[in-house]
Amino acid sequence: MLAGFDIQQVPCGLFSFDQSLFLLSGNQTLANMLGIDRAALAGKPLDQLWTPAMRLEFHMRVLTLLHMHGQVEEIALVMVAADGREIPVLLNAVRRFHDGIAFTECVVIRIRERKRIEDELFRLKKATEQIPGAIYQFVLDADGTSYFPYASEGIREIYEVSPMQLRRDAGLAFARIHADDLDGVSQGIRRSAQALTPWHQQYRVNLPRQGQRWLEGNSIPEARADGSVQWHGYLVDITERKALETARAIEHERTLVTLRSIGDAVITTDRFGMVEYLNPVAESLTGWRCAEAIGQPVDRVFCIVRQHGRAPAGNPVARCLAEGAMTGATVDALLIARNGAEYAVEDSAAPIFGADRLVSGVVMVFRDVTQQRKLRQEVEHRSRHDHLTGLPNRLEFDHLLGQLFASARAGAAEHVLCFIDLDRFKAVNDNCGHAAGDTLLRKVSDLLRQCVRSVDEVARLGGDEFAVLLQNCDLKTGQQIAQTICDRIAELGFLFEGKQFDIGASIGLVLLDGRWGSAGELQQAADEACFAAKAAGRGRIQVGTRSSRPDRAGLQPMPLSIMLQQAIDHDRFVLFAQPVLTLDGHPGQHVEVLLRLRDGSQGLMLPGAFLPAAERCGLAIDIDRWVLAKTCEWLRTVPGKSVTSVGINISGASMIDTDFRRFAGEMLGRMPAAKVFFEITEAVAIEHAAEALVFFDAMHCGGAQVGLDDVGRGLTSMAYLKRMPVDYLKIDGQVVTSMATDAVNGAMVRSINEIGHLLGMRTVAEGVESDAVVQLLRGMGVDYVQGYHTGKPQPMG
Amino acid sequence: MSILSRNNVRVSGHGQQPMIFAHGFGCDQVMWRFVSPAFEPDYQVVLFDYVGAGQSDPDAYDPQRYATLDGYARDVVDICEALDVRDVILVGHSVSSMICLLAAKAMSGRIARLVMICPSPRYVNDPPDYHGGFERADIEGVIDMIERNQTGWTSQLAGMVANNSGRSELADELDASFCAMDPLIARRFAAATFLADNRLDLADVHQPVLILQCTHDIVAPLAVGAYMHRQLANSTLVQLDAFGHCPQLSHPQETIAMMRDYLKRAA
Repeated sequence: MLAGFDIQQVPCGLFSFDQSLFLLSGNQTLANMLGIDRAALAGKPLDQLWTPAMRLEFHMRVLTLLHMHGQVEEIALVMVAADGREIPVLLNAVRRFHDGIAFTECVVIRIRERKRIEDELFRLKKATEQIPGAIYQFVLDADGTSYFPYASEGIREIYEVSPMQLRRDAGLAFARIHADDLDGVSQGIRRSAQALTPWHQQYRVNLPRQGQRWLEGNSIPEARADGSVQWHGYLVDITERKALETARAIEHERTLVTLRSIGDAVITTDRFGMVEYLNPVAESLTGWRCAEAIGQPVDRVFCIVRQHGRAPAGNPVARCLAEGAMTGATVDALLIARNGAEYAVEDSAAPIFGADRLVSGVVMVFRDVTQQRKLRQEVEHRSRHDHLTGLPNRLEFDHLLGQLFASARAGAAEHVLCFIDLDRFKAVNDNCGHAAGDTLLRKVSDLLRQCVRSVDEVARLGGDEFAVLLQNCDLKTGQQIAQTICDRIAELGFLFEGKQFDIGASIGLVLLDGRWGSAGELQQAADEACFAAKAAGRGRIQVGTRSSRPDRAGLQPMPLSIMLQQAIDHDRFVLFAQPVLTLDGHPGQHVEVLLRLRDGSQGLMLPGAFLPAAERCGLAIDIDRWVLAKTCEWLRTVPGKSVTSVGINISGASMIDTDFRRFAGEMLGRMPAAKVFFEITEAVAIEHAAEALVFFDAMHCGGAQVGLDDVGRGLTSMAYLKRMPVDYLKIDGQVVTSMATDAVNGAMVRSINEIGHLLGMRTVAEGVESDAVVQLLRGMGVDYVQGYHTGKPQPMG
Repeated sequence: MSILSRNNVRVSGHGQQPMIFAHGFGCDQVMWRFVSPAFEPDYQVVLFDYVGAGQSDPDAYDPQRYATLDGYARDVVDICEALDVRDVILVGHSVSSMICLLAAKAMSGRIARLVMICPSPRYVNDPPDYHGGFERADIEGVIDMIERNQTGWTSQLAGMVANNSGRSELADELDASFCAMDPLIARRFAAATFLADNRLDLADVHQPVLILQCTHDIVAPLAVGAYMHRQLANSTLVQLDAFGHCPQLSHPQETIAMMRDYLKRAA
């Protein structure tokens, strides 16, 4: 024993035990630790030193090692004191033999502080294991060997190896790395070691259980004095993220390709309306490059005003963000490009919703509609104006009249309406041709415009019928203006090829005040007044009143309805026939039946002068019956071969009238029905589509054919044609007449013709007045033509 | 990977009848080194490591399969089938006694008899009739400790390698892995072992069984040995003079002698 060394009091517990696992002896320090008398240590069962859990550990592992190796070192165990207190200790033990008897000598050292640190480490370890992925320390020795001194439990998922396996050799981890990525990873580690820069890599591994996975590693290197480098960092499995990224990249690419290739312009913005993307079409329209536009407020890039008035138009993106819903086209939007160019555009914007269902941005789509809008405005204008004179047509006139009527009904304003019918106009047309008639009509319209005030409106209602609307005008002023018109037209004269034609005007005038029940009533009164003026000898003004009684003393002309009724009764109507020629060379004598009315002075009135009135009076059906009966009679008298077909116009009122249909059926039974072609105007057929189908069906049953008249006059979609079971289309004369000089009208004729043919219908062009037009129509393949150029209407035998 | 390399199976000996040694919890086949050589002259001696222990293939570890003793029993069956052995004597230590019992039931045609060293069908007490030796809290303590004592055990192993530098490389290699179990696997194995209840499996065992019971074994007390003997119809209970739970290490000669004696009498 060393001097001064007291084995009883050394600062560690000492004891020994025999083969039977009983203590042989122990020192005072151990006795103190356990809180028992030192004498009681000898003979104490060894198991009683340990907590029950430690007994298992001691027998299953410590004793096993002792038997195998004869010694153990640094085994952490927990002893239990007499009072039940647990004492964490480290145990060193060695087996010895003395006189053939085996015993074991043990040292135990209290490790309260170490235990505390161990507990903390254990808690920390438990917590870190909850983090996805693995944290680790990796060492690359100077000789090139590598290992993981520490790897968290997560490494079992990351590499499917245990931390213990990697502690000795990193090879197992490297063996998992995908063959194609192994070199890259090795180089990455080498670079990181040489430059001492952070290691950051994504690579694939092939795992026995999970198969191929993507990993991402991040760690910081540290050079050590022994030439080794050690990294501390973490590894995460990014397979899902990678798959998502790949899917997103593909999706993104596809979206970009789509956006690049579509014809519409597309701008996307974030939720603050800042531009995020422009496709090439948007770039060229706005004049902004995508790269420059990014981050700009969208209203800077997509700058729109209203085409009419050029007031700033609300930005659709702002509207979309405010409403959180899709927005339709901004009305009349005009895009001002960066270089000042202007484009009519049609836009729409839709919100983009993020995963949180909140608006995360907006996608706006727009198109350059400059050409379409021009065309549409042109067509709209044409649909409301007379092509020959440029004056508002009946449609526009009805609209204007409606406005004045409403203002008169509403209050103080008084206006005057004049219906003007030219006298002896027909003579010009008949003797000098349509072109001369047109020249005259243009002159008259110019003259009318000169006679009225700037606030007034002049309209051409059809044929030689005009109307004048005098705004804020009393009866007296109206009469003065009307008289001026009357006089000026009478003075106009018309000289053609040395021949002088005297033209006059009969004017029906009514005061448009608040007493009228409807605009229709007003028109009828004006109509009747005009008719009365004509009947009273032309070249004069007749003022109409609500009672439909012309108030000029002494004349007492008949109401128009009675006059028309009498015309029917006394056969004052006359039938004319205009030839319809084939362009395809097929022989045949085709005609269209036209109606004229003999007036008092043995002149003839064109249908435009009396048919509107007849329709308003409810006499249209009677007139149609008369025409049909007369035509039937005529067909029976002419030789069969002299007429191939006869076209008869049917009014809307007749078409929808059941009795008329029955009557028409009877008539068809009395004549060669196959020669009869009934014509309904396009406007009527659309307005009464259901009845039109019934009528067409009935006429087809009777053996006749049906066609649509005035096709192309209204601004209607051609789509309705598909539903109309008609045999032919008659293209509106106004459109045809000018097609040689008007490209839009030419295109219209061409498309009506093509659509008609596609639908199996024949096509007829009306209003053909020049050879140039005939040639054009022939080129387009139009089947039939009619007009003053190819044949004037002649009285029917 | 073949079963034989998966379980690090080693076959030796000159006899015909196979004798398979199955190690217990917390160790590997090295624990048989004092006993198995004694049987090599007369038997075909088979040693192996369970998956997750010793030099077995770590990739083969399936947490689900080895969550119960049945998974380990499947290892024994796999090995017998891979070697295609019959008339086998299965020698199991501690928990392996029960694993071998389950394996024998799964392939009773191949197994001639069983030797159980310090067996216990249930470690946790089940009052009033069954005394296994431990409370459930004790078992939880062990499992907890196994998980946290990683550091201690590692330094233990490192120290041993250093202290035995004079020995052969093979021995060093074996020592380095001796009883060094992956903590997570050890934890699961401990739970499967110490929370198992195989008492019902003791019925319907047709093979003769030798039970070697130690004196003063707190892991498998005398009462448990007596219980086993009562429940196993065709069993022989032999009490060793050895103390503790590992007679094949602490008292190899006595263990060998008792086994030989029994096998001789049986023949």
